[in-house]
Amino acid sequence: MKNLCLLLGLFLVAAGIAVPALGHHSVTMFDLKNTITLTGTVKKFRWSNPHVILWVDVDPPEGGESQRWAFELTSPGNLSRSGWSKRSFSPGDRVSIDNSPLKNGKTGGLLKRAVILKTGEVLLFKWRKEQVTKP
Amino acid sequence: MTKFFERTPRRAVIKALNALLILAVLPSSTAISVAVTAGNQAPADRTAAWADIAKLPDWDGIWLPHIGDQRDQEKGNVAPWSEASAEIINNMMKAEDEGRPAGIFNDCMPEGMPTWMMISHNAMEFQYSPGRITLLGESDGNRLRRIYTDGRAHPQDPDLTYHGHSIAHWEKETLVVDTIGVDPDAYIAITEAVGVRNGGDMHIVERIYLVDEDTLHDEITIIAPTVMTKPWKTTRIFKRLRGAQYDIVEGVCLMGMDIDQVDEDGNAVFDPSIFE
Repeated sequence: MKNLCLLLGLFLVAAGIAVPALGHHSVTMFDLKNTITLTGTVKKFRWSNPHVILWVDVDPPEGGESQRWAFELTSPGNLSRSGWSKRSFSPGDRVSIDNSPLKNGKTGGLLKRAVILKTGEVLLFKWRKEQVTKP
Repeated sequence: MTKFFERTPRRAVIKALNALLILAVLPSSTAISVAVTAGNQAPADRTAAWADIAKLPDWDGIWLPHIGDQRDQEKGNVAPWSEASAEIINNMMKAEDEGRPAGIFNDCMPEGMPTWMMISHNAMEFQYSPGRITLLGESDGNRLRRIYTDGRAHPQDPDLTYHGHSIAHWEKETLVVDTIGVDPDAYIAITEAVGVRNGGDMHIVERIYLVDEDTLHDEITIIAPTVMTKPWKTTRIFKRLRGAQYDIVEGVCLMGMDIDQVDEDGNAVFDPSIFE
């Protein structure tokens, strides 16, 4: 079982799908000067340290197969203080994601803003105290 | 004076200054006294000891680091690195600017001192108890710092740890903290991807105080003769939040795995060996 999971992990890396990094790390691997918007369907929402990850099957621009993207966020503690929770997303949710994509072209990005299309709910990470305490 | 510096090795001079600095931060006059005895023994009057806690400055709630100011400090207050350390730092900064940041904390070892106070992006809180202040962190390699306020001295030959051995006293409403004994493996990090190991002879002095009701400053002076040419002072800012909705949550660095594991009995388990 362990070997099977290791092979799966290697497959994900080989397929060019971003595998989240561990630990407190820099964000300069993302193109912070640019923001792109992608629409798709939530595959998985990983509410864990050190970085919360949202996997989305992104709609291809002209039909065809969707692409699996991994969007990185800050820690559960920081997101909790911004009003997020482990239930903020469910598999199958249709979402629009503003993100700074990876510079290396792999399908990953730093999530800046998410919209749950069915409800219109907007989720942001508010890291300034002033943003957090506003209603 | 010039001849003094020509004859005396630089590191010896810095060590002498270091010793003077330690003497300078020994307890002097304090407005707050607590009924505890040195050495973490049971206080003579436990009720009085806990009542004294109420006289300490209100540092309750959680404290968020001012990340924008951290970024400003990266370029605005450069450490006096030795030539060798400066080369390492500059190479790492270049790599980070080019989108190839070094993963110096990807192994999830504690960030330790002084790095926790310098670059954390997560919350922390202060916990008062007789003879001690405990700093508790959240994720980002924040673990805990025990800062002893019971008048004890540093051990002569401390076991080396990531957060070092810290003693402190109050000068009115400023906590003056003295830390030695930091493991040489711990970084002096200025960003998540830029830092050098501390050289094994580091000494840190902090002055921690409120500047307004919800803003805390930690003035950090780092004396690290192996990697810096002189002591370096830098300040970090923390902003307070109160309320249960902002409480610190558990943060285990190595938990960010995207593949669920089960053992032979079908139990969900965490298996770090997948990354070996």
